[in-house]
Amino acid sequence: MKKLFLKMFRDVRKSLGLFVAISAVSAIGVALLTGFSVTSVSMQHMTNSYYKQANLADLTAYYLKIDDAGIAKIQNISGVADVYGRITLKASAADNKSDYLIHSVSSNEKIDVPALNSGHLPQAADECMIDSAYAKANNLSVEDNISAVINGQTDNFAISGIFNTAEYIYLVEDPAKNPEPDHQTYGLLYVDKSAVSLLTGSPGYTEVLVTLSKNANVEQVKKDITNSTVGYGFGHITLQKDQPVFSQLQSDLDSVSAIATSFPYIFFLVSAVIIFISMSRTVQSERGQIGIMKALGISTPVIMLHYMSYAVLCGLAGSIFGNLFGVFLLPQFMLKTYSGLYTFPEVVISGFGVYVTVSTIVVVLFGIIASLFSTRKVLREVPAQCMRPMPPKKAQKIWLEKHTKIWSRISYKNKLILRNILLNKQRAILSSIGIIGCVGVLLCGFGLRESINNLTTSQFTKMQKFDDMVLLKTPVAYNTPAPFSASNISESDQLSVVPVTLNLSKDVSAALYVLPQNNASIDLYNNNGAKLSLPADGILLPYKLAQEYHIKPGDLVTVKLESALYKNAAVQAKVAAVDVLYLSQDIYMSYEYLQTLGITPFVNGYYITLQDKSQDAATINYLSGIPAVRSAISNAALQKSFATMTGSENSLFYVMVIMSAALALAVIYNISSINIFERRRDIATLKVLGYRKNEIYSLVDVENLIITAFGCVFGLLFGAVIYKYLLAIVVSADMFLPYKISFSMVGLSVVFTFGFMIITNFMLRGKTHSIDMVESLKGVE
Amino acid sequence: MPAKLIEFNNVSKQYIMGEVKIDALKNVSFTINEGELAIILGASGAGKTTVLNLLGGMDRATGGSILVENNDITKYNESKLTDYRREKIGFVFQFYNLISNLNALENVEFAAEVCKNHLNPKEVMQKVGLGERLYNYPSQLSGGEQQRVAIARAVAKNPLLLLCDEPTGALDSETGKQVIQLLLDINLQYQKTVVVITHNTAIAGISDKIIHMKNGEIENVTIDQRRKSIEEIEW
Repeated sequence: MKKLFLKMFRDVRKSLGLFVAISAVSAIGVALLTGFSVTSVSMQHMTNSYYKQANLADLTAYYLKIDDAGIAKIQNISGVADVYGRITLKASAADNKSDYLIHSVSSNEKIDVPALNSGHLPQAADECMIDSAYAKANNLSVEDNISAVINGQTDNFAISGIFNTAEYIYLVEDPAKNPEPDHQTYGLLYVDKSAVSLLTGSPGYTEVLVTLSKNANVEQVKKDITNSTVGYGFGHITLQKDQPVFSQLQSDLDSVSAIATSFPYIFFLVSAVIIFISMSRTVQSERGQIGIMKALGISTPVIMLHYMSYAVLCGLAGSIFGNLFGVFLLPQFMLKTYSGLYTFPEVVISGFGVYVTVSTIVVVLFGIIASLFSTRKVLREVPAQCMRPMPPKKAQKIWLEKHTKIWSRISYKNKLILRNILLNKQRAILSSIGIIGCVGVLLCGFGLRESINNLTTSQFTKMQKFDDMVLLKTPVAYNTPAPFSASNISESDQLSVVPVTLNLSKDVSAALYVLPQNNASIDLYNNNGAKLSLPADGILLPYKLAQEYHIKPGDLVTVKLESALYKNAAVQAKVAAVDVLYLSQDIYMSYEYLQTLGITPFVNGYYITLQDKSQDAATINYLSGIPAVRSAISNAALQKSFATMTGSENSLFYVMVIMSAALALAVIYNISSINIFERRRDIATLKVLGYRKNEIYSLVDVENLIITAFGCVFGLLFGAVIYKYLLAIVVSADMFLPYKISFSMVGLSVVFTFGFMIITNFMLRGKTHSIDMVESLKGVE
Repeated sequence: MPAKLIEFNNVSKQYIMGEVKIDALKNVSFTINEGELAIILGASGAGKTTVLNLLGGMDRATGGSILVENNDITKYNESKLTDYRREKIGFVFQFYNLISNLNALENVEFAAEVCKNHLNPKEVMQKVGLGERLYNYPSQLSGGEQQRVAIARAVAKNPLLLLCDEPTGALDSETGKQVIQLLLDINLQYQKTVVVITHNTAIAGISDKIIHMKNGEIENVTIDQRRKSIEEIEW
């Protein structure tokens, strides 16, 4: 037994390249499996404990103003565990460079508790605390001063503390318009209750945070809250799970774990294929030795174990390197990309034991199965049979020879290549698995890049035709003259953005965009790319929702306007057409139709078209300076921030290209090396017969070319399937990336694959070149 | 007086294996004339294969010159050596070395394909007596038949020189005789120069010239005036 292990280690050393290749492919699979799983689990772990520690509200109810008596009423509703009222305001910095979200805090806060990093809670009207990301981005620390303009009045605060809060793990001003957090210009400002109530005049709260008891009926509680607090200017209720903060992070974590449970298996399969091929060859060439071992009385299972241990060794090596990457590097790298989007405490990498174990078992298992299959046949033979030379392969005609017309036109070199492929179908098919994986992964990579590029063009150029978007502090009546006027503004369309609940087969939250029927700001398109005009007799429903809830044009849907301004009215709206939206699934409606439904429209923003786009910055500056304007942002800025936000998809693209190259190179190089080794006698003979270098290279090259072409066909089919799957997992709930396989995706994938194949062929030339002509003089082994 | 075709002038070949230098050939000189059937005879280790490798353009000498048609092939670069093997040399190997994925005729055609002045492969196959076995694969042929295909392959290239490395080494005596007879026929009918390398002294009698080798040197060269016929050979 000991000597057998010695033999195995010598075998590994003899073909180190092969061993490294198998281990490397296994390692990539393992790294993906462990790395992605560990990231997802650690993040999940962190968020769970972070949320728990903060005691996040299960739902939040919004009011114009509610007092302690109103809050006591909510507390008494059955199913409600805890209640906390606070004041919420939006404000901007005195220098107008930042916007603030202001909450009142107190020491008896039990829900959405902020975690102090340093300092203490604000205790006086002139104290505040700010979130750590804003503090960092603006270089602020405890005892510094900031001033904010609240309701037109400038107030100075001394920073008493810096905090993190699970409530705003993802802090953006308006996720629908700019999903990228900008901590430089948007921060949380928590002040003492006394300060805020003073500023807003009469005391009262605008928000009530509610936690529910274990078995509470959420719908019933929502209904009870609504009914019991009507008198306080009830706005609407949002559930924690519907807040973009949590759903976005959750969908990110879900895609990470979905990738972890699918993509690694491509690599495990490929390494199993290489193990199978090389093991088959080793066992074939060691037939004699196996015969001797058997003759010496070593039992078949022991011999099998010997060959299997090679596969196990490859798997273990792959597991060690893959897990080192997967535990120590990959999660750090991914957490770093997340920390651009989310603000969270330090994540402790945990729970990797399970994944290290699972990935090791899986990768070793693939290897064991592969070696079992490859050794089975030889090990079944009796020793005497083993020691005799292999019976010559039965000469058989390949199917193509029956078509003499075609066959006679093929050159002998190509006949040789074709026979070599078709008489070793198994090897050819297994080689093409590498290509199939390569093309498939490339198709996903190029597809992902292309859909994001297309999305960017569609969203920011074709659909959002406006240059700037302005939101007002206070809504005004429809057709009130706009509060701005500048020579550079050529057109402005009145806009009303209202949160709504769509009563489909279940309640769906969305935003309703109301625009004039004839507007120059937004162009919408249907699924066939035809332009839609804003109808006077219905709404436009996004394709993604229409698909998911089986709604077609002509159907009626109940739209509940979740705003006090619209008195939370629920209307029956007709779906006039279905439009395709990418970034967020919003409802579009014309003012004309809104009025037909009997609703008095309001305006809370404008879309603006400019005369001279180069003066955009100046116009934004001008607009931001208008007192009635809450915010003004340019379409170009939105596009830019979207590009940064999709940066992670871009890096995923490069990872995919590298992965596919590794797949193609590892498989073609190894299987071709084995093939060249098996045919070294033929190749030496050809050299002696005076075949030129390039003619001999082309034997290998053309064979790989044919296998690659074959693999491409199936690879594209395979890619089409996994691309569909990938789109479903990388896209967050709000986004829609249409599934489309374009000519350029296919073309680029095929070109890259052939490129990898050509590189591999060049790498193989050395192997062919080094075959000594003297080989041809030797006897058959 | 027939023209000189091959001339070895003080050819030496030294292999360096780590620290050890092995002299495979030491100042070997001999000539072979056009149309001759020459045999290089010697025990294993005598340097026969080295002569074959050098003459066949498969290896380079470390000293001396090898003139073939008055061209010194020791001066050839790799690509010229390839051309030389392609156009001038027909190889017959001890273990036949047929391409297993091509049938008998294809094996011949395959080799002929690369030469400018090749002969009709089918006719050559008839000549070696395998007109009926054209479409059989190597694995379906006996050893003697495979060697005849190999000879046909060498002949079809219409080379200047047929180089045979122990052509009967893997065959029984009767089949071996048939193969030698075939080489004799080819030597006479096609007027081809044939060089046979062997350790088998029995077949030495059939040749025009016997070059005896020992320890990397020429022991002596005997010129046979009267060739024996194949029937006279005692194997």
